[in-house]
Order: sequence, then structure tokens, then C-alpha cells
Amino acid sequence: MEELNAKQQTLKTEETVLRATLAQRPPLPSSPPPTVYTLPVKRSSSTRLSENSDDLCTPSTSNGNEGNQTVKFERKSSSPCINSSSQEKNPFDDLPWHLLSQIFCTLELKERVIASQVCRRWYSLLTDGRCPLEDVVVLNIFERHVWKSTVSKNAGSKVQCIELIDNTYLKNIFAHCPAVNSVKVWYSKREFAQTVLEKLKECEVKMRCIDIFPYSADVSIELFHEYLPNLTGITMRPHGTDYFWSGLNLNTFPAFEKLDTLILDSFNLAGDVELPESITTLEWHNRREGSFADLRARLKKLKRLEYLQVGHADFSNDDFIKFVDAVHVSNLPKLQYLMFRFCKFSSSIKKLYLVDDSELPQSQALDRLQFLKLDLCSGSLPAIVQDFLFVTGKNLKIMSLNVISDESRSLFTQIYDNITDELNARNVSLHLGLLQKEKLKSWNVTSSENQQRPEETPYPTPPKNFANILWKFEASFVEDFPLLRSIFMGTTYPFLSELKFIQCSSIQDEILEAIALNCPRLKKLSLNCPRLKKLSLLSCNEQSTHVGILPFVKQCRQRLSKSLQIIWKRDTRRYSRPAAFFLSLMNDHADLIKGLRARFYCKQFSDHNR
Amino acid sequence: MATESANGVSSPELNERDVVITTNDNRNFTVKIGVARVSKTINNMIQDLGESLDLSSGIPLPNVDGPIFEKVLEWCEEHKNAPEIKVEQDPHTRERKWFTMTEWEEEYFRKFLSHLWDLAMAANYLEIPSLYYYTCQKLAERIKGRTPEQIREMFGIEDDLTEEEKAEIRRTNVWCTY
Repeated sequence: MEELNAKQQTLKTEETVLRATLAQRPPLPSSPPPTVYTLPVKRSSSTRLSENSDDLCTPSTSNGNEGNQTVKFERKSSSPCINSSSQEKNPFDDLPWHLLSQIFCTLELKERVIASQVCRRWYSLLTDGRCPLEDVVVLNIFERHVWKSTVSKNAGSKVQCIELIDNTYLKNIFAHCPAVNSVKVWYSKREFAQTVLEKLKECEVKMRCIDIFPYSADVSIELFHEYLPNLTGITMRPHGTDYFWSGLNLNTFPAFEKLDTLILDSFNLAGDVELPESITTLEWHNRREGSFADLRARLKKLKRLEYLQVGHADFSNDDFIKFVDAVHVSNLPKLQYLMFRFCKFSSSIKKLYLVDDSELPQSQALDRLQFLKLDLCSGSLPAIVQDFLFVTGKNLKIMSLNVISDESRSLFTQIYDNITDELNARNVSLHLGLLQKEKLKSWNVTSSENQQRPEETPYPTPPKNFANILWKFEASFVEDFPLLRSIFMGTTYPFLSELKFIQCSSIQDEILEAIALNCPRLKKLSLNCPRLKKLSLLSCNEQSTHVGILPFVKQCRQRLSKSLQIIWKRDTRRYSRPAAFFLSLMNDHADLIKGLRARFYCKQFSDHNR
Repeated sequence: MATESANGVSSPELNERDVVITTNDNRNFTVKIGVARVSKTINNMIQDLGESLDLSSGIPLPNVDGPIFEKVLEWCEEHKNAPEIKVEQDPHTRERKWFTMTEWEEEYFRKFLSHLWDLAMAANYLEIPSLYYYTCQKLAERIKGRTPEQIREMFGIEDDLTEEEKAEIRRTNVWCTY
């Protein structure tokens, strides 16, 4: 028992370290594209105003959709006569409302409130939804107590709040942003959630999803259904350390009929709770031991499920078989994307049964699966991959593996030998992500001289098949220069299309050149990565300079892909370097880019992460 | 589609020919077709008329008067070869990006500062996206950072809100002080 506790403790410590590391990482690849949403909400006839006066609210913007919008011209109103003499009367009376909306769309919330006091017409244009604040994507609504005691104290939090002295004023905010991507409600009291929901309904705020962040055991999920029964997306996560390991009990889940996306993080489902069958995308995270059984029993009823992500589940013993049976193609015929984060796998199907593969009912049980991701899972990687290849079929296109690379030479032997051969035989592409968890001692350049480096076993050289299946590669915090050297020096990757290095001090010119330049014996395949479209260097070693990037430009004409995007992020002190490189490219190497189009984009970041 | 760009009758020779445009105060403007078709409205008319276009009898513009059309023409002359403008958003914040104007454009708006709304209206009717969006931006610039009183005064807008109504807007938006 003691041993078990100690083990549990180690696991927890490990996870804490991992979480800290991961917190610095950029967002993971996103889920499949969400469907388009509209949320019709009927206007409420009864308007109860809460007298609760200790709450707080803030709308804030966050990442939105990328892309340009081409000009679309509309002439909705009949055009009145345009006379230069019209200056004498109120010129804005003549302006059709969509012209005014063009003007208003560049104003911020504060300026809009000021402009709404100009005249009656402006007031109604600004607050009746015809000219909404376009750039509000996420609306964060905090209960005052929650904001004051927790969120505002988060390190690095620079979120500006708009403080409301009365909840009824929420309406005034909602009037300016009637359609947002998501509304996040941070609450500890049921009454607060109710007021917010009332106002959202009353103002007919359209939203793609609602994020439910309770700070107490009173989740009151039924209220969300009562006010917003047609919600299409819900994210739920209890906050506060109390529920981190144990999870928070959810005794009911209302029948949201249109729900298609659900993220349940750290919730325990009571015995008779059913999840809506309309769900197509589901994420489940729960650190409580054995909690995955809660979900597994309900999975087979989610017939429309296309995307499933599971975090922290334990698939030891026969749990993996039970899981495969639950998501069997006969139960979930649409399941295409499957991801595991921090999951634990221990025994393989073959070991359990000790019989011939094809005899087992699990053979190709997940035949429709196209994408499989194992993100920092524990267990024997080759055995897990083998199991998944066994239960999947010919539809599987991509296997994505995120692994900890810390000086583990045997890991790469496993990847290069067993895993590579099996993926290659099945025609499955590999997305490989390496994460270095702890600082390397042996490769610390500043270490004192008398400190002996441990004996270096060289990393194995990637075999040809590995080079053929690698489509995406990403390395985070990797300081291990010999590792990257073993992967990129001297190996040609004909299909590698995306390469990303995040805070890798080991990425040096030598490696960049190796990636970009000829392999001496392969004159015709002049690049190691001829299809490379996107190269990201985020906060890497300052040693990696334009000397390393230049070969990419030099080789541009021989590339198979027509464009190459180089993403270059520096911290403030070195901020000007990419620009300097671009200038030197234009001035000193004009011959290289003659006839090519080069553009320099500067991306703006908010103050604290610039 | 009214918003389609010119095709069919877009030969360079045609662009060099003159067309007469008559404003609502019966002033005749002789304009190169290449300049006139910066306005999609006029371009559509030229296209619609096609072979039957009588260049000397002119195109009537019953909604625009001479003094304003003169200013608009100045814009068209400068922008006759300019590419279609794009409304862009910052992908990070989803904020609408402000258009960067050339020195010529800045000067143009300085010169016609008191005619911004007329230009916006004319650009709207004549469908000249660059002029329309840039004028709107100029108008927005003038609104930013000003009090309701200043805005009213600047644009000559009548204050038709009662004191009670204004007090109510201020009360329910107390977070917003200026």
C-alpha cells in the first residue's frame, strides 16, 4: 500500500513538472474544424433583475479567425440626394446606417459608449446589434469574489477588467457584443450564474460555446440548460486545488439537444448521468484513479462521435480491451480522431490473449480511425503502437507521437526499428514531437571543467524508412545537440512538410544548414526537406542566426513547394534580428531572391508576452 | 452581379476614350473611361450599355452634384490603376486593421475635411470602395477621443436625447468615465 502511495506521489510530482513545462508551450494542434453555429434564443418575457451587487464582468478579446475579408459592397438603403449644401443640416441624418456602421466598427467599447450619447439614432445603432463590436471573440464574466481572490492574482495576468457595480448592467455590455465565439463564466455562487444566464438570454447573445468554470461544488449545470437549451458547445472545468486530483461530482447532465462539442475536465459522473447523444467531439480529462470507467460505460451510446480525446486515463490490464470494445466501429461508426494525453498503457493485447492476431475480435475494431495521437503517454511505446495498429485498419493515415526525449537513446532505437517498420508497412505517416523535460547536465556548456561528461553513446542514425514516413517534426526545449544532429545531419526527408523548434538551444546553424543544404551524394535531391513549407523557430538559441536560415533562401528555386514560411520569434532584446535578416536579404543577397517574392510580416503580441 | 469587375469591354483603347457624365445640377464632365470606371456604378452602366453606348450623350448621375463629383473625380484619377482594397483583420486580436494612406490621400482628406460625409455618401452611391472605406476611417478618427458634446458640435448633430436618458446611459455605464 505504501509503495502504491509512493508511486502515486511520484506520478503527481512528474505531472506537476510536465504541466509546468507544457504551460510554456504554444497551443497544441486544434481539433477538427468545428461546424458552423447559430443559436436562436427566444426573448425572455419575464425579466427578473438581480439585486446582487458584488459582481464583476469583463469582455476581453482573444485569438480569432485568421484570414482576410475582401470588400463586399452593399447598398441597402435608397440613396438620397447628395448635395454639397448638406453640410448645413445634420450630415449624419443622411448617412445610411451601414455607412455609420463602417465608422463605428473601428471604435472600442469605451468610445462606443461615448458615441451612444450623441443622439438617439446613434444610440440605437450602437446598442441594437446592427453595429456590434466585431473583435470581441471571448467574453469573460467573473464573479467579483472569484476575480479578486484568484484569477487577478495569477502571475503575468494583465487582463483588464470592467468592473460593474450592478449585475443588471451586464445588459449594457451585451448590447455591444451580441455575437461572440464563447462566453466564459467564472462563478462560485449559483445566483451569479443565474443572473449572467438571464442576461445572456434576455440580450439574445449568440455564442458558439459556453465555458463553465465553477469555483464551488455547486455547479448548477441545469441552470445553463434552462436558459440556453440550444447550446452547441460546452467546456467544463472546476477550478481550485480541491478538485484537481479528485474531480468534482456531477450528479446530472441536462439533455442539451444540439450539443456537439463537450469538454469535461475533472468531473466525476454519477451513476445515472447520460451524455447527450448528439455529441460529435468529446474531450475527457480526469486524474482520479479509475475514473475513466465512468466515461467508458457511456461512450458506446455516443453514436455520432467523430473526435475523442482522453486525458490521464489508465489502460492497464484489460482496460484497453474494454475501451476498444466500447469504441468499436459497430458502436461508434464515425470515430476518426483519437487522442490520448498523459495516459498509461501497460500490457499489450497479444500478451493478454497469447493467440494469433486475426482471431481476436479487436482486430480492426477501430477501422474508421484516421488520426491517432499519443501525447506524453507512459508505457512501452512500441507495444502501444503495435496495439493501435492492430485495432485500426487501412483508414489510419497519421500517427502522432509526442515523447520525452531526455537522453534516451533506446527510445530512438525503438522508434527507428519497430515503430518505423510497422508504420511504413501500413503506409501511416508519422508526426513526431520531442519534449525535453529536464535540463541536460551532460551538455551544459557552462559546466565546470573538472566535471566529466558521461560516456556518450551516439544516437542511432535514422533509417531510410523513418525518413519516408516523417511528415511533421517538432522539438520543444531540446538542448541535446547530438540528438538533433543525429536526426538531421546526413538524412534526407523527402516528405517532411512542417518543422518546428520551440526554445531549442540545440538548433544551431549547422543543423539548419543540414536541413536546407545538399546531401553531398544526392545532387538531385538537393534538399533534405524539399517539401518544407513552414519552418518555425520560437525563442531558440541566439546562436542560430541568419547564417543558418540563408541556405533555405539559397535553395528556394530547387524546392518542390512553392512557398516557404519562416516564423521567427525572439524575445525583446533580440527583437530586431528577423528584421535585420530580412534587410540583409534585400540588400546583400538581392541576387538570391531576384524573381521571388519575399515579404516580411511583423506579428504583434500583447504586452506581457511580447 | 453588380460588384463584378469590368470584363468584356475593358480594352485599353476604350479606357482612353472620353465619356460625358452629367451630374444632377446639369454640369457635364468629360472623363476618360479608365478613370470613370473606378466607380463600379459607372462601370456597370458602361458595361450594360455596351455597343449602344453613346459617348457624347453622356451618363446621368441624378444622385450626385457637380462640386462633389469634381472631388470624387480627383480620387478616381489618382486611383485608376490601384488594386482593389482589402479589409483586413489582425489575426491575433480580430481587430480591424486601419488602412495606411499615402501622402496624396492624406492631403486629399485634409483638403476636403469639411466634405467627408458628402464624399462618403457619393463613394457609397458610386461604389468606390477605396474612397468609401478611407472616408469612413477619417470620420472615425475624428470621433475617437472626443466627448459626446464635441462630436455633436463637430458634425452639427442635434442633441435629441433627454437629460434623463443621458443620465441613464451614464449611470448604467459607470465603468466608462471620460
